[in-house]
Amino acid sequence: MADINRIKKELKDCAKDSETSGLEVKLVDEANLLHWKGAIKGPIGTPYEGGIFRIDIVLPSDYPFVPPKMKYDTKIWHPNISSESGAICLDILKNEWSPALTVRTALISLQALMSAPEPDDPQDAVVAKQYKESHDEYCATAKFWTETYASPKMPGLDMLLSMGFGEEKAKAALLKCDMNVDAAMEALLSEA
Amino acid sequence: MDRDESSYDCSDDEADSLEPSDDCFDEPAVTRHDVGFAVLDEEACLALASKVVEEVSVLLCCGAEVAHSLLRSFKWDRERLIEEYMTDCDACAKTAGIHLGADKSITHSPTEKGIVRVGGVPKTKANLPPIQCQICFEHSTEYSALQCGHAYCNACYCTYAVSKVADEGHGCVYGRCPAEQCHLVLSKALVASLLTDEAHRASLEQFARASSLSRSFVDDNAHIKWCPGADCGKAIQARPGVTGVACTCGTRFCFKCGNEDHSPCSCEDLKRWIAKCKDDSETSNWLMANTKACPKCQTSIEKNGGCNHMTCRNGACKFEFCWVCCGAWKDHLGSFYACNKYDPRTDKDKKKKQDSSRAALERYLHHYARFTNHDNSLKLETEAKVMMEKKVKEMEALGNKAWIDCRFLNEANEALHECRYALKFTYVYAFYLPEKHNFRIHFEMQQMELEKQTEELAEQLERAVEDIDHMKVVNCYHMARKRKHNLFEIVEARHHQEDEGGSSSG
Repeated sequence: MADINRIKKELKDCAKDSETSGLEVKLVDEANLLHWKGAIKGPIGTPYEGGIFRIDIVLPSDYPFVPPKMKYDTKIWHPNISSESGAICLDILKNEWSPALTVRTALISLQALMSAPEPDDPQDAVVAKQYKESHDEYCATAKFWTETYASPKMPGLDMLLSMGFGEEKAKAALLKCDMNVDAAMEALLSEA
Repeated sequence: MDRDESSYDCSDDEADSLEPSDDCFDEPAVTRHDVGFAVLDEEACLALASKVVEEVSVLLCCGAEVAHSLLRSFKWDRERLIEEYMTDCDACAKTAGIHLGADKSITHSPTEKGIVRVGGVPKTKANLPPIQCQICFEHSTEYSALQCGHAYCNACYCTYAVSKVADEGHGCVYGRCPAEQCHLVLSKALVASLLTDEAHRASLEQFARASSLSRSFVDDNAHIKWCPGADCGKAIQARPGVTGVACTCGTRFCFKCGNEDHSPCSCEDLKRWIAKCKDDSETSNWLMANTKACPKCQTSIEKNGGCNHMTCRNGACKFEFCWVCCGAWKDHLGSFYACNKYDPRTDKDKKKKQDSSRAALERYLHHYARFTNHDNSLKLETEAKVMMEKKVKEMEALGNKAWIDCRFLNEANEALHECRYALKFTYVYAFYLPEKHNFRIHFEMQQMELEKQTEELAEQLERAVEDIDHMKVVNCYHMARKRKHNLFEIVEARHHQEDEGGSSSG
């Protein structure tokens, strides 16, 4: 059985310095302590700068003796993260996990991974190849994906979200309609 | 697979002769036939392991447990360990997960209540200052630590150790201190002091087994492997490069791939062969029995009823032919259902046209049939071995011979077994040899010789006791062994040649 007290303390600790750490976590549902959503600011000086990356965190029942399950909800172009599913390849989320680590330290590691990808141990082979062979192209794609999917300032997005459209669909519609909110809304409605 | 208890009649006296000697570790002891491997029972393993541990602990001035951990992380390669330890002991300690500095361990003894050992020194529990456990984040005065001093409360540390045992199995001995960046591995003493509860007994036992000296000596040692025979606890130590080994329990296996002994064919070829047999033999047997090849395009065709006027369904072919004679249907016009023409010319034609895939199939079946044939003989002769014991007794009873004089029968039987075994796999080897190759002709000639000799030996041994000719049998098995030796020699020579880059073709 997961350690409820520890999880509560972890949540509190994460909230303490969210301003400076660039990390944020919250519960999806107040009644369920095992399902979190995290957010990481893209590290400065990387193609991810300016983006907010949302992460799905599920704590297994044996937590903290087994690692938390994490994946990117926000699409990201990174050698160690699947561009399709958001699955992460990071040792501390697998065999190098230790119960002395926390969700917060794992998120910090993710931040570090975004600053320093490890293309020799890739999750997404296509991205890793591009990273190694045509680095400029990689930077451009990663930047484009950050602007497209991770930008917090997509005008009109909040409105679409509040109307109940899915985040990915709403963003795609906005992009398609050159950020014209009305056109995007119409497109979404006609789709539905 | 093919196990037979009596094929190795060297159980007791032979095992004794394998006493660990001084240079046993560097050069594995050699059995009767200089085969390059030795069978070790648990005691022998433990003796060998303890000896190495002791030597290392004396040489590096460390405790036995530390020496064990070091050896384990160097796969029991003593020379490499000593060399690297002398060069950079800190790096070695880090990879092996041992602690070289001051001992800051905190352990509890299940027998001494209220006593805690800090760095090995007993103290009363009341003296422990409270800490915050970094796993449950609670404050506690009941905690433990490895020599690194990273302390966690007993409840968390215990759960941690139990989960390591459950998740990693034998790998639990590589479980590390939970502290970030700490490389220290869990010690036997700590785990024993944590897992005192009756509920954790199984985990504790599993950890003890995994960390036992003989277990690690075999598991982590590249030159020693467990015998895969059912319920056989023995291990085999082999010289580098040795592949086919035999345990005293009768199990023969390949030291490299763990499958049954398959010399002279290589592990890769065996793997391909097994896969092929799984895929092909049933399918091809069925094809051979139930189908005919279209005389024009060689597609396999099953006739599931109807008349003999066949039309090939291969879109590119559509050939119409007679099922009975496989001739073109147009020649039958006017004489339906009454195919009685026999023309040797067409027969020849058919052979000429035979499709390469069918030829390949036939080639495969040729090798497969012989492979299985020898396999079956092997099984039958294994059963016959019990009979042989009887024959030896009978022979003794005939009066003119002592038991020792009858032992040649056992020896002959063993030789027969060896040759059959080898023959079986020569067909796999031959199957993967390039066709129309000089070596192939050479190989098949030697193979034939071995086969002939083996069959003769089998025949000699099958005779009734009074008809068995001592000299003939002895000659026969010596000859068979020699043939086998020759065959293996040419295979080895070829490998040698290939390794040197001169892969001869032609």
